[in-house]
Amino acid sequence: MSVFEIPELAHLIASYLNPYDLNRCVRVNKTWHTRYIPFLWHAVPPTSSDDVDEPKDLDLVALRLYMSWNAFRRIVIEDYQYSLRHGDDGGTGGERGGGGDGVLPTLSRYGHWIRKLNISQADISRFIPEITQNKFNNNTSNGSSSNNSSTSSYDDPFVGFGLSRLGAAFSMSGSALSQSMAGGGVDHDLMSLHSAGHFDDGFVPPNPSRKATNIRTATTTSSTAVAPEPSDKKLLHHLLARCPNLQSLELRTWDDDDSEENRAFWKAIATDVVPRLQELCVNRFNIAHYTRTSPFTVPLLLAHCSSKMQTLKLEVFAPLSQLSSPIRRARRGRNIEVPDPEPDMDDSPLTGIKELSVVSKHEAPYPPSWLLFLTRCVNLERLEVTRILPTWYGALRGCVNLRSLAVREVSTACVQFIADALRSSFLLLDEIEILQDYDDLEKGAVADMISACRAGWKLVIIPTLDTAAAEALVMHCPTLERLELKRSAGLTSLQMQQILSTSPRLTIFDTMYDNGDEMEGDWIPPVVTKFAVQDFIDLDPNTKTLKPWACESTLKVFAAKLTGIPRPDITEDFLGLPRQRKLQETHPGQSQELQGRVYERFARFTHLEELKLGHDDRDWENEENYVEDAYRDTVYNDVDFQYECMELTLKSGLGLLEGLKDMKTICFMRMATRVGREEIKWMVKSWPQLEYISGLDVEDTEEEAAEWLKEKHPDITIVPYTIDY
Amino acid sequence: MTVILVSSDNQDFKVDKEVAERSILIKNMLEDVGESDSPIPLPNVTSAVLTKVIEYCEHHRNDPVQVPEETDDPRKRSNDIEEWDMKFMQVDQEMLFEIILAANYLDIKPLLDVGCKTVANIIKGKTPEEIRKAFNIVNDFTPEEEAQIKKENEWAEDR
Repeated sequence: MSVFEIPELAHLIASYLNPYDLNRCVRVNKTWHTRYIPFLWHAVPPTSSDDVDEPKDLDLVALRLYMSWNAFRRIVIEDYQYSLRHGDDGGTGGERGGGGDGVLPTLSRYGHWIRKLNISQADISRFIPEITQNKFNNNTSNGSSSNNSSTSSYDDPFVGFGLSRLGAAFSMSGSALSQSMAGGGVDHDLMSLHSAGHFDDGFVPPNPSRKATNIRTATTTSSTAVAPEPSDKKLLHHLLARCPNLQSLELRTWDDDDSEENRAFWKAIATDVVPRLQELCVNRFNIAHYTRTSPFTVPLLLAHCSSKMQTLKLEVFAPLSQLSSPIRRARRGRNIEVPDPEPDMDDSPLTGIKELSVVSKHEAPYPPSWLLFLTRCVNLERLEVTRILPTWYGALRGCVNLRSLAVREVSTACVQFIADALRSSFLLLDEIEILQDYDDLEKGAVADMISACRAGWKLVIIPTLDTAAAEALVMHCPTLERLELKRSAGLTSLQMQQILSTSPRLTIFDTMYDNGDEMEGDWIPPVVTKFAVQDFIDLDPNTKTLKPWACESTLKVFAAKLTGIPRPDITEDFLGLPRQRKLQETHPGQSQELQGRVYERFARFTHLEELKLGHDDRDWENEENYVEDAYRDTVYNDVDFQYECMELTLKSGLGLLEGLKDMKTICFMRMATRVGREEIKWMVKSWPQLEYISGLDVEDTEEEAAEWLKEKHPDITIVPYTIDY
Repeated sequence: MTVILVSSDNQDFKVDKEVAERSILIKNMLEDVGESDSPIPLPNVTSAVLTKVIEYCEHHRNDPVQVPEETDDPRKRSNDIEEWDMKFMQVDQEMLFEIILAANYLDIKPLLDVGCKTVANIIKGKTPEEIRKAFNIVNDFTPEEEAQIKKENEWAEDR
């Protein structure tokens, strides 16, 4: 008996296949088609690099995703045009009648299988495929050059395309595109669009509407014009109407403004789609694509969540001032302001919502109805907000199931509230994440918050710890799983040892997870406590062996600066001048002995994936940071360059780390290592998962190693020390 | 404590209770029956397959009990098979299917998962024709149907 005959097993197998594999499965035979279509159409189209097994090359992944969207958009347009012909303005997907053409279009037949959609406006607004296809056909019939081997009418048809067209969305490189095309994967639309000259007039990435307009202009001038193109929003609305069983919707970087069309669009999303969703993410933040958000949208989306909703994430741009007072807007053509009331919201509990994130890049996007909404989320487990206002305290105390709290900006009052709530209401809270720097907080506030946790902290991500807060934190070692500090100023070397040696669940230990910060134009350099090598080795004085540490089999990320290793071999400093205040060996060979012990310690972290011994916090823009080196060249004066550090050579014992088969990242940025080609070869051979090396090319040997790596393993990312400034 | 399992071809297998209880079916049976020496018949599993299943359960006797994931996303990873399991699964296709069916019947979730991952890995990267060949499947599409299906799902085509 074949396992494929049992639906449950066939489904289980399908769950391990990506969309590209499933695509081939549905083409095997009729039984497989029936069985695997629901899986293939579960989440359309492929939206992330996770969906793509091979290749690892990000450019090619981006190209594939892009082509998927292009093909998918064609399906949506086909369905839209079908519905225009048959007077059907959307409905219940597969349940609709046959219509005059006999076979329903693809989306109408399969849309009811779609559970998950992740769409940016740029995804859907790219092409008018029919027109471009026609152009392609015309070109070929006229004998002009439009196939993948003959490109005589333009030198490199894809490089220009890649850079101009996809720059905003994917940072695509021309070479990758050419490679893919050479492999036979030519998309006719791409070819024809280029040959039609649509890309030559300069592409403006940030505004998808503009792209659509450009293309629409082309429509009117084309001799093969078809029905007028729907707007991006109309198309999305049509698509959503064909997905009656949609559960999860992610909308990225969709335009939002005060136009009537826009308001109708979001109203339709809120009333027709949101009530049936389990998950909604609206994310407008995209560096290349900055859109302003009308404050109108947030209360509308909040008001239409049903008890089905489990995860709601809204990231918006909206000035607080517009939201805290009644919203007003000018009616077009009339010089009066009309108040725009918030939609009605009932007070029934939203029992499904476990995760709620409403954040803003600049100011808090919280409308008046937010408080009522918060009160309705009775089962909330994770909350992410920009800040916590005093008016929310009452509502928040009701969130007794809260386990995870992320606040982007905190004040002393906010930290005090969290501490207080940890003692009375947030009894389950064990994950805290604060992004903003908080040097101006009252002394003791953070320490009090850290010690108020009843459940025992599992995750602590905060900018920095002062001495008192560090003392409070080490009491939580038994539960601690993840510790990420922007600056580890308050943590002593011994406390680092204590955390690592007594935290049996620790997976991430990062004492420098960020590279400094810019606050109001001022550069705030990170203050990183160095981990003294003797504390790290932690030798048992009796047995002269390493003391066992609790996190040896759990730790995945180690990021800290080790210091105190004498390096007699390093005689010159970064500028080529003789090193001052050199740490001397207590006896000949001490440096090698210490390094051997350090490798021994690292080798015990059997699941280590990321080893970060250096980091980059250089402030390139400050002219005062430049000096003349020994050769009279102007160079960056790297005062934090590490000299008393690991060599990371095979001679010094790097080979002891051979068993760390999960290693993906190694960082020795701004360190006097002696990594050469042999070491890099060894790393690539010993660590099959290796994908990122940071800090190469300080010395000549490293430069050679980098060259070798680029040639032999282009899939491994190298972050060099030197930046061309 | 040991229990006796009887395969469909009437062979007895004496195994530790702890090992046998990797099978939720057997665990529930033992709980229902209470302390008993009577052999447990497994009419759907041949001795050859049962030998393999017991080998797996022996190797994984100390593994923590798997908590079912509370995710609605049906897509999971198949490239995380442990080395031992990978070797264990290097059997002919008939045996592979038998093991999966047995794991399904005996309710041994980790074995079922690793079996299905192995099948998924056989499918990965193959063309429809290669899949048909690998699993001895007859193509019952007309060329027109085939072209139509290819077009409909072009958005997920590997190019």
